[in-house]
Amino acid sequence: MKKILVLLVFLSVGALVFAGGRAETPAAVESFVDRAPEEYVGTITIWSFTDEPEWYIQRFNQVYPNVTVEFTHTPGGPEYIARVNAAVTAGNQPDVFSAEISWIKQWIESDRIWENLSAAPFNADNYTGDMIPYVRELGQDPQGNQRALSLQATPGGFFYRRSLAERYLGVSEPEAVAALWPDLDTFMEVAASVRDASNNSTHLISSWWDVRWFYLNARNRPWVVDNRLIIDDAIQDYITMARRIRDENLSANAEPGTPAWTSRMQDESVIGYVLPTWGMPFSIIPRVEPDVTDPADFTGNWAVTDGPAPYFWGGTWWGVSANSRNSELAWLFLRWLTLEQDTLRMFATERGEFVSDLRVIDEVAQGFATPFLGGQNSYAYFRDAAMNIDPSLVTRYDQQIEALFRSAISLFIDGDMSREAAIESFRDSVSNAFPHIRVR
Amino acid sequence: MAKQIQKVPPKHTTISYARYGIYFVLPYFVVFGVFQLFPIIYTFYLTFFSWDGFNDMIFVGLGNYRRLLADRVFFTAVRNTFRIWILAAIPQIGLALFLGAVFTFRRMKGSNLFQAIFYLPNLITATSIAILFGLLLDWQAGAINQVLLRVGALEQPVNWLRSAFWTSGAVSLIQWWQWFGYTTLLVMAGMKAIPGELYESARIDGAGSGSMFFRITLPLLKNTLTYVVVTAIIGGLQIFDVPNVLTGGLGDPNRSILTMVMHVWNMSFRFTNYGYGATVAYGLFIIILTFSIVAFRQLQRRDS
Repeated sequence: MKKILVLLVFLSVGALVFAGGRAETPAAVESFVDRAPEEYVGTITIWSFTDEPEWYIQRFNQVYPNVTVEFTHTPGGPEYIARVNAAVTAGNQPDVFSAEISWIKQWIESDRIWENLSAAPFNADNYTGDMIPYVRELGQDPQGNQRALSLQATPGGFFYRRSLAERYLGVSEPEAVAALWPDLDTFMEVAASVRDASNNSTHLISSWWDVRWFYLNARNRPWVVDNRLIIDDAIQDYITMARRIRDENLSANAEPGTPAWTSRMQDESVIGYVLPTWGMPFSIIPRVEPDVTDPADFTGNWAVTDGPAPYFWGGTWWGVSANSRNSELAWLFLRWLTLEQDTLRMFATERGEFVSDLRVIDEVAQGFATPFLGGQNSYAYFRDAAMNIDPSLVTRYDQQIEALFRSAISLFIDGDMSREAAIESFRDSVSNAFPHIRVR
Repeated sequence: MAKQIQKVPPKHTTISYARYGIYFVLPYFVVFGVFQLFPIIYTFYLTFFSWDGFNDMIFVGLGNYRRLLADRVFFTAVRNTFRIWILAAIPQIGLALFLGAVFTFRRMKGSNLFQAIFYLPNLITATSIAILFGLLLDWQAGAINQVLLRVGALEQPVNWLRSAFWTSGAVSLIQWWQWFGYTTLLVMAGMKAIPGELYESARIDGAGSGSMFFRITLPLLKNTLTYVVVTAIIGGLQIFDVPNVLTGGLGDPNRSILTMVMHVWNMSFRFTNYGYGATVAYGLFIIILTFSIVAFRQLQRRDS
């Protein structure tokens, strides 16, 4: 209760300050004049929900030594959103701040959050020609104005252990492994064969929830169209498959976010994980080879290949605050972070980040080898995946609706409720959370 | 020489202590006003609006209240909260009375040590306890299942956290475990304040320890118990951290562990409707207020 009160205080103080008026937008200029790096002087503030910016700022200051960047890290989605919302209401949001794909739509559709970067003096459209189309599109408002930019793209793959693949699938090279499952049905057949070959001690996948992306990205329509909930045929197929995975022991029953998920990754009883580009540095490496500091020391026992269907998952976008008093420096930082090829090349080579700029991708993909993946060129792999991503399925409700879906459908998976009752329960939950969405 | 005693009128040196009193309490009132009173009033104001947190607030009149009265999830949350609370509060107060009596009336070696040990769980953050229980109760990797499988008590691991019975029970257990030590200390303070002569004369009249407990200790503990029960209602009905962490925020399975404050949180911050979240908070406020008053009256009346 205390936390809620504190958040309400944030909001209410925000509302008070809001009454005092918003900051004036700087006098209109056609475009910012490029200057020598050390001539940029001043302070900007940035907020995000991960601590990655600490590294960004360190590198940014190597180029722009006289710009002070004050960073505030607020972990947790809802907490971060509430904090930014309160600051927006108060008219004192940071100069630059990030959004995750789960709530970016909500912010992009409002002109109170981020500047229109397509307009002068930013003229972002002059710089985004080489950005992967879906990344650019997700940062645009319904009128097609660029509001946010991203340094990364997040196509998905199937990360697997080569040794286990060799033992249970008979092959270990990415192309050969992907050839085993041209579609979802054959994928599940492979899962069944792994279960049988290992006497139920090793599984192809971790849980029914892990494979959701194959189905979510196979939908014809997003979750909500014209304020109406859509349960696409692909979702119905997923429910069927999810129950089969449970009933036939096709997974290790270790759902993401549970302790079992981590321990199965460590005890090598799951062959692979359905994860996108960021899954390797954020989910896998910290759990399986956390102590490696020199990339040459990785065992190289992992590889990435195609799952039975394409998908993408996540992504972080950045924008310049709609009322930034330092919009020139804010834009300088944002441009450096998301559009400068030197920066993106550095992200790719030093951090293994899959960046959003096609020219950099093509350049890096030449002869790129990921040590953790046994020297596999993951860049070339993900480039093709990224070009096929369709962002039209993204809505502002996705994260909440998918959480409600997981909660309701689990009742059917566990055998506590019939399929129809679980779907009805899901509809009720959506209606309860968002009364303006028609669910039947 | 006649000594003339002159009566000197006392110098007017009255210091207005009241003024200092105000200075001393002022910081509290400022903090209270800014961080509690204003949010309480502002939350009430919010109940008349639909608001996503940053776009314009839309006035909806009593719409949020109508929605609350028809909100089945809210009433589910009310029932859940009371079930969790009763299963935690009754053992908590019962055990506190028992331990309080043992520590107060029986000379025991190491009773101070036990008091400290019983109080310890109260010092741990509820969230940490919930994470710890989440690890213990995990379906595939949890310690409880591992032990039960190892000793042969189970053939298949039990998915505790997908069972309403076990999850709800675990939440009540945590609440009880965390608070019985604190309640014991309060009860002991109340018991120690009861004059010893009462027990002495009762003993002379031939009363046993049972009847002394029920006829002297309990009635004279009335004020302490009123405080314990009313604060347990106010605190217990606001339970949030433990069930929120254990159930991933939605009160799984099937909302059976969703509490009232979790519903407030979800509506406000997960589904970003601050107006309706504020209305649920006021619903919660009225329920807690009503039960606190009823409990207070009942406990005070029993005495007279």
